[in-house]
Order: sequence, then C-alpha cells, then structure tokens
Amino acid sequence: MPYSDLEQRIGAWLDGRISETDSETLQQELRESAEARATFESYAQLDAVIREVADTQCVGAISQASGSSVSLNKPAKTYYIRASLAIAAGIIVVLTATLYYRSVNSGRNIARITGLNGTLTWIGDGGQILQGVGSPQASTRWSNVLSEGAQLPGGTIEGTAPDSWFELEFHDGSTAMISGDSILTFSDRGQKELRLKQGRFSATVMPQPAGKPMLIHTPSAVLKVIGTQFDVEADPKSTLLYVREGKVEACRVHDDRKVDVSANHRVAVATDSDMVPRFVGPDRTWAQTPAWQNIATTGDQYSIATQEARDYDGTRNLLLSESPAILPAQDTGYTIRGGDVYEIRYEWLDDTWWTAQDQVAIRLFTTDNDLISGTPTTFATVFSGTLATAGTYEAASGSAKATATEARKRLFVAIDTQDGGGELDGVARLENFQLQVTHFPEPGQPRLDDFQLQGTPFPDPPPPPTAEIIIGGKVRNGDFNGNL
Amino acid sequence: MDDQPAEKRTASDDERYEAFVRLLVEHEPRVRSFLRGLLPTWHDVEEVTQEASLIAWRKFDDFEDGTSFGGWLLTIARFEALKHRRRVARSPLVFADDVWDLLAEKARGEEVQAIRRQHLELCLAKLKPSQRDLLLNVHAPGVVMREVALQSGKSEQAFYKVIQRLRAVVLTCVTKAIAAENA
Repeated sequence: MPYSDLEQRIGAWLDGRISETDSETLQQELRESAEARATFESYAQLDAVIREVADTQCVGAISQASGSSVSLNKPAKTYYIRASLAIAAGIIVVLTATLYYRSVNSGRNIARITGLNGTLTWIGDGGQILQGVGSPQASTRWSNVLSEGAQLPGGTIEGTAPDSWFELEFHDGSTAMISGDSILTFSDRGQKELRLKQGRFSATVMPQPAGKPMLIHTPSAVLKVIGTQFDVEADPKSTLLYVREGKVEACRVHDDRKVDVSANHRVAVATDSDMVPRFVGPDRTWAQTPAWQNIATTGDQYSIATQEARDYDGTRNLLLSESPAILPAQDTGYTIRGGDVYEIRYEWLDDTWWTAQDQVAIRLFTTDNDLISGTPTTFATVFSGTLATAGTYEAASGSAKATATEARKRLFVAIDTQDGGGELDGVARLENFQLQVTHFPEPGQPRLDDFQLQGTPFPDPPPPPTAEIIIGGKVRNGDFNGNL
Repeated sequence: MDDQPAEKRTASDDERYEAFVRLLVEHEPRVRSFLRGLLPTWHDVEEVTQEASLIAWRKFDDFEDGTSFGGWLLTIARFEALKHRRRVARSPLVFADDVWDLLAEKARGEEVQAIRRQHLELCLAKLKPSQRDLLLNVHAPGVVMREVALQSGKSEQAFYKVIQRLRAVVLTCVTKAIAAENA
C-alpha cells in the first residue's frame, strides 16, 4: 500500500520525530488543503485507537500458579496502624471526582479500605476536593469515602507523599496496597484489573476464577496472577517484580515477551532487560547474623534482620524499623582512644510508612561494663538527614569525635531511627555500612597503638594519624551480605 | 458524533454521579481522538483528557439538559488543550496558532465519523500476526519507537516506512468499514 509524502510527514509528527523543515511543510499543507486536514484527522484518530487497543494487549497464556492465601508481608504492628490512622484522618485530601477508569462498576462496590495513611487522592466515586493537606477532614457526604471500612467501587487512588499508603481488600479476600508516591487504578468486573502507573504495590491474591487471573498493567509490563503474594515497583520505563509465593507471569509490553516468575525470584522488565528471573535469597534473622544484634529490650532475635529484596547493589540489605522492638547494634571490639575521629558511610532507602521527616540515626556508645548488654551511654549520634528522593537509595555520611571521657572504653555502634512524623512504624533499608576510625596521636597522651610502648606518652611531634576500618565490606559484616 | 440528549441531575447524588460516569465512559474515546491531533504526544493527550474530565465533573451542574454532552466535553477539552499547549516548549511538534485552530475546528466538527475500537480490531485481524503485533507494540505505553527501530535490525528510516505502510493499510481498511457501516 503506497502512501504519500503528506502521510509520511503526518506519521513523523505522530511519532514525535518530524524535522523542523518537514513540520513547516506539513503545516503549510494543513493550512492550504481541507483534504490534508481530513487525512491528518484520520491518522490522529487511528493513532488514538491503536494506542487504546495496544494498552490492553499483551495478555497471552495463563501461567499455572498455585493459589495461596498468605497475609501481606508487612510488619505486624496493627496498633501502630490504628494509631497512625487517627493522625492520618487529619491529612487526607479527598478528591472524589470523575470515575476515570472506564468503570462500569459505578454503584457496585468491589473492595473495602482496610488501612490508609498520609496524603491521598481518590478519583472514583463522585465528589470534590474537600480540603488541603494538613487541614481537618470536613464533614460532608463524601468525607467517609476515604476511611477505614469504607466500601469502594473501581477507581484510582494516588499517594502523593512519601509516607502515604493505602490498603484495600477485595470481596474475595485478596488484598492490595500502595505506598509512597504511587498511582493505582483498580476494577473488578468478574476479573480484577489493576493499573500501576507508578510507584510501589504489594498484593496477596486469593485463588482467582479459572481463566480470569488478576491483571496488573504497568507502563512496561502486564502481570498475570492466579493467586500469590508479590511486590511490584514501576516507573514509566521499567517494572520490578518480586514474587514471594506462587507464580506470576510477566509480559513485556514492548515485545510481548513473557516469563514466569516463581516464588523467591525477581525480574526486571524494561526495554533493555534480559527478563531472566533471579533467585532472591531467603530472609535472615538476627540469630543468623551474629555480627549484628538486635539489642532492643523487647527484641526478637528471630525476627528479620537482612533481606535481598529491594537491594542496592545486588546483595543483602539491613531491614531498619522505627519499631521499639528493633535496634541493630554491634560490639566493634575496638577500644576508644581520646581524639579518635569516626567516619560513617552507608546507603539507605526509605520504605513502607517511612515519612519525609524520619531519619536514620547512627549512635556510637559505650556501656558501664564494656559489654553490649550493659547500660549504654551514647557519646555521638550521626543523622542521615531526611530523604531527598522517595524510593531511591541515597548515600549518607558523617563523623564524630571521641573525647577523653570515652577513652579506653569499648566502642559499640547502633543503627537506630529518629522519628519525625509522629508514627513509629516506618521501615527503611540500609546497605554497605562503614565505620572508619582515624586516630590523631596527641603529644603527652598515653599511647595504645604499640604493645611495647603502651601507656607511655606520645612524643612531640607525635606519629602521623592512622586510619582503620572497623566495620565495612566483609569486615564485621558491614555489607550485611555475610552470615556473620 | 452520535450524541443523544443527555440526562443530567437526578433525584439523588448517586444517580447524578452514575449519569455522569455513563456519559464520560461513552465520550472519553472521542475526546482522546480529538486531542491526539492537537497535542504532540500521547502523554499530553492523557494528561489533558484527565484534566478535562475532572473539570467536566466539577462543572456538571452547569451542563444543560438536552444538550450534547460530547460537544460540551470537547469544548472543555479544547480549552484545556489550548492551556496545555501554551505550557509546551516550542518545537516542530507544536503547530502554529492558525494551523492549530484549523485542526481543532476540523476535529470538533460534528460531521466527523469517529474511528472506533471495533473498526480497528476488524482491520487488525486482517493483518499478518507479526504485522499486527509490530503495529500494536510500537504504540504500547512506555515504548519509544526509536528504540524499537534500533533493535529491529533495520535502518531507522526503513523501520518507520514499515510502520507508516501498516498505518496506511489499516486506515484504508477502517475507512471502508465505516463506509460500509453507513451504507
């Protein structure tokens, strides 16, 4: 089928690749010719309809996934959730406006809200903007739309702050949750269909009706789920899928390539990814990570210490929590010398329920008996600063100095959190922790660096500073990858 | 555009909402098609469609019974597209004002017979599966056509020609289908 130069130029315009010269020519043709405008209009319409059809393709054979009914993998802190809900009520923005998602579900509720927090925008069941962030929720006929227990028809929920999260339960018991800056559209017309435009999404899917798997569309992939437990993270160019249980079929929109992702595997779906599922090692407890201890008084040594999910560099990371039940710490085995400078570096990532005000706090401390179980005295705290970009690993560093008060005592380090949002339920991840000490000998101070000369004063001038990595990489499991 | 006089406010808010949703669902594809000829990218189209839908809901009280909801929605969409266009940086993709007005008038015209999804599906079924997949894949969300072209093994220009040829084939088929429908 031949096509004209005009059609070629229209195609180039629709594809976004038209040159300035061709654009001028095309515009002149459109000015002068009603026929050219009709042709342009036809191609524009065709483009729109092709995109509409293309958006719903990529749904080939159904994988055989085993059904499961496991609970959502999140910290079991129901009372924190309840407490946070009370706070959340004050900062929810309710935009109950157009049902944008071709919903013919209007009037038919398909899911129930089981939890929510932070600034959220709901687009779906009629209404209007009620109030802005931080103001109390006005009492209107729509004000119960976003509240725990409320029933919803299909629609779109958008988390608009790093600490936003929203959990709903479908009538068959399947649950879905978004967190952070995420946009999720959901519907159930006999088949659950969800669209994650961006952000993080977790779900526990009950066994679905035969031939009607749950479909999750992202900009780069279509995921088909019979019944399983998984996490998805999507941006406009890529989708990261991590399957905890069961099996999920991932289909790349770009070329229709499909891959089955089994339990404990993850796959990255992007135009240039190999789409090979990679094994994700099982979680390790504190008991399996003896270099690090959970020194929280109510701490459980068999709770999760490290994971491979949401990794920074393909390795394991430390799971941090604001919960008082978790406080990772280590006996460094190092004896403090007056004038020591401690330099701390690590990468960290905000995760579920971490607010924009929360921080990682590295605490250096001594104890009254030089045992980690002793009564602690913190002599320095180094904060990460609040997160710069939600959902992205960022580097943190800082330094602290020991004084004569701490000299000759054992050094301990704790990786703590500093709450800033008023809710002790935030989760973060930490990678590649490094603690380096540099000792600056001072004339007249007793030296501890030489066994032969121990206790004798440093000469004037003293020897040059010496640096030593106390924790970092494989040393004392600073990368959290070892089982030390 | 077949646009029946629209029902408007009813006794209850739920019915009013349902009436709006029904109208929106019916007319939204037409709005996207209309905007596609006015805005440089599909992303722009989606953004403006969403904005126009929200404004339509907020102004639904102003909508007059018995008038064309589709026409009213297109008017809102055109206004929003104009606002959006002003925010888009100048580029070969942004037409001059006079051309933009001509295209908007043309696309807005009631005589325009919209291409519908069923027309396209009918014609896609007549393509070879590989051709159909290729055409759909390059129009799928998030796909950058240039990247697909580079991976195809063909030169970019040759690849674009293949796509344009497929479009021409499908458009001819769709035009015939619409003509047959109206015969």
